[in-house]
Amino acid sequence: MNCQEVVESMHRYLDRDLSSDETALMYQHIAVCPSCAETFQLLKSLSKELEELPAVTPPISLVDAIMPRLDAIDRERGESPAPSKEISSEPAEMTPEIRRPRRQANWWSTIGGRTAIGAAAAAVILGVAIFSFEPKVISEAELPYEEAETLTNETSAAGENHDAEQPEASIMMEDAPAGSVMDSGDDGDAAGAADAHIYTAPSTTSQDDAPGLTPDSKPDHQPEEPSEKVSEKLGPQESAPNDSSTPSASNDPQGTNSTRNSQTPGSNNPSEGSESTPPTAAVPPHAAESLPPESDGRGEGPSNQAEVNPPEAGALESSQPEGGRLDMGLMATVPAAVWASPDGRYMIQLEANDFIVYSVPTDSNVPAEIVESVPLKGEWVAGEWVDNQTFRYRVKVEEQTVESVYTVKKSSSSQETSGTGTSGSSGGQNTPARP
Amino acid sequence: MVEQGLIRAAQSGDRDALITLLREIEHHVYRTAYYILNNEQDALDAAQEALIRVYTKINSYEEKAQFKTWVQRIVTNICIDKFRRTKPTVSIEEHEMVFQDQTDVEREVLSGYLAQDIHEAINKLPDHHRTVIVLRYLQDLSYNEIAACLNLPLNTVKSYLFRARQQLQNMLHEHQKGGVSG
Repeated sequence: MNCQEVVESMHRYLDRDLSSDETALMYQHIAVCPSCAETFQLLKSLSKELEELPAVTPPISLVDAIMPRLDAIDRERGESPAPSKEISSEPAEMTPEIRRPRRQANWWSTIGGRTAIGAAAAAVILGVAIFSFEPKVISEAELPYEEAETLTNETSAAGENHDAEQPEASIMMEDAPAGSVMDSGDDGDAAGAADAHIYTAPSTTSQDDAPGLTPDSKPDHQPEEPSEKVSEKLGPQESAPNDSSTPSASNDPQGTNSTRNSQTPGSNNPSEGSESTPPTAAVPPHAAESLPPESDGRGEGPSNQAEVNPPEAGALESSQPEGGRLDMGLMATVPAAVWASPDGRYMIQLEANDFIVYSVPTDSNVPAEIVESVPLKGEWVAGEWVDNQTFRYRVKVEEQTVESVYTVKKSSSSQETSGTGTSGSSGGQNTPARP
Repeated sequence: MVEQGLIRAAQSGDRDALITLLREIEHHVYRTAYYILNNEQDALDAAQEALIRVYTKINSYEEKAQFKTWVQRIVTNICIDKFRRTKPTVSIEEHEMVFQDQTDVEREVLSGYLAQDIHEAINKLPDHHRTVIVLRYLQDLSYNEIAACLNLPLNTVKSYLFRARQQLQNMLHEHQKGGVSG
């Protein structure tokens, strides 16, 4: 073993890396090599001094010093909701006592708080869905007014069929306000197991509107974008005829409405004009319209009462006035789920529990008429016009998608409208018998 | 050293355990930073940064390594980076002058004259040599542990350590000679 190797052994010895045998060899060499002995002494001395270097300690608690930064890190990690704000508001030299409790609170909130946040988000989404859904109904709601005028005759003439039909609609409408649009499909389940229903809805082209219905002129007015067009149409119309009648309708006690229900629309009509008449097909959309919050300002009192009422004919009609009032304010703002027929003569608007078939007049100043309200057997899935008179739609009934076809049948009589709604059956088209 | 249970608790999200862990290691971290950087303020900064890194990376620690080695690796990396940033091109002469300026301030911090000499000598070592010395003597790490900390081969660690000691001895020997003669 030469001196070089011994020096290395010395270092390893100092580092406790030398085996006992190697240590013995090293000592043997040192014993006979004064130079290495001196080096060894120096190294041992140096190593001892190094081991005795003072164990310096920080003048402050480093952990306490960095605690604010740790808290900030926690906030960035855990609570994304309001991290930056808390950090900025927090003084840099927060004391640990304050931090600990807050941090625990944060920790708790990461578990419970996230759940709450999730619930809130779900609520917001639900709310948006509800409001965006209802608006569709509302956009078309104005139409009923005008319709009401034309349909007045229908209402009276509708007779028993009409009465039987509307109660259902009213029930459904009541559900709608609660936001149970989707659930309302259940109501329809019981009604229809038939796979294909073809409703023949006589177009309620009444004499008043007849001139406007000319097919050629209609395409221009097709409600591709219902909300806009509706607002345009309504602007002039509502301002003139409806303004006077609207306030009166809103104030109408239920009793007045019920009176009308008793098939004596004529008595009230003169003063109230179009609004009092809508009881027929127009009813469903109105009820739906009453839902949106905007309507509260105008007719909350009466509207609520109307909705609360049992689904009798009277209840339905009583709710109508609201629809009239609401329309003016809501129409412009709310989009609708509307399908216009290819030729633009008809359009179908989806309601909570049924869809409303409108006849679109050629004259933009003349409001669309309600042809028919067709109750849905289940939850709405999709719909499209097959041709100018046939609307194919699908509803989900008990997890099964049922496809139905609605066919618009032109008829001069309004009575058929009521008849067709209930006459839906599987198979071919049913054209209601005309009186 | 640090209990494994405490580490596991910290890794599982127990923040109090993690804070306790930091308190247990903060002196070790600071000591390494202080001797490598030879400056209290730099050492405080580096040690805090190291503790924060431990706090944020605790889940990346795996038990196959020693916790103290993992921690020392963090702090030495920070110190070496810091040293490179603050003293990128320091010649020996300049280094000595800086060192002289600091001597008066730090003399009081250190316990004895001999320790001061050694401390001065350590500061004159190249970075890696100094770091190895610090880990060996102030953290009492083995060759393997130092190699793990610095991500260096074992032989390189030995080489650094032997050379560092030799350099220290030479410096101190000259100093002692000078002291005796002068």
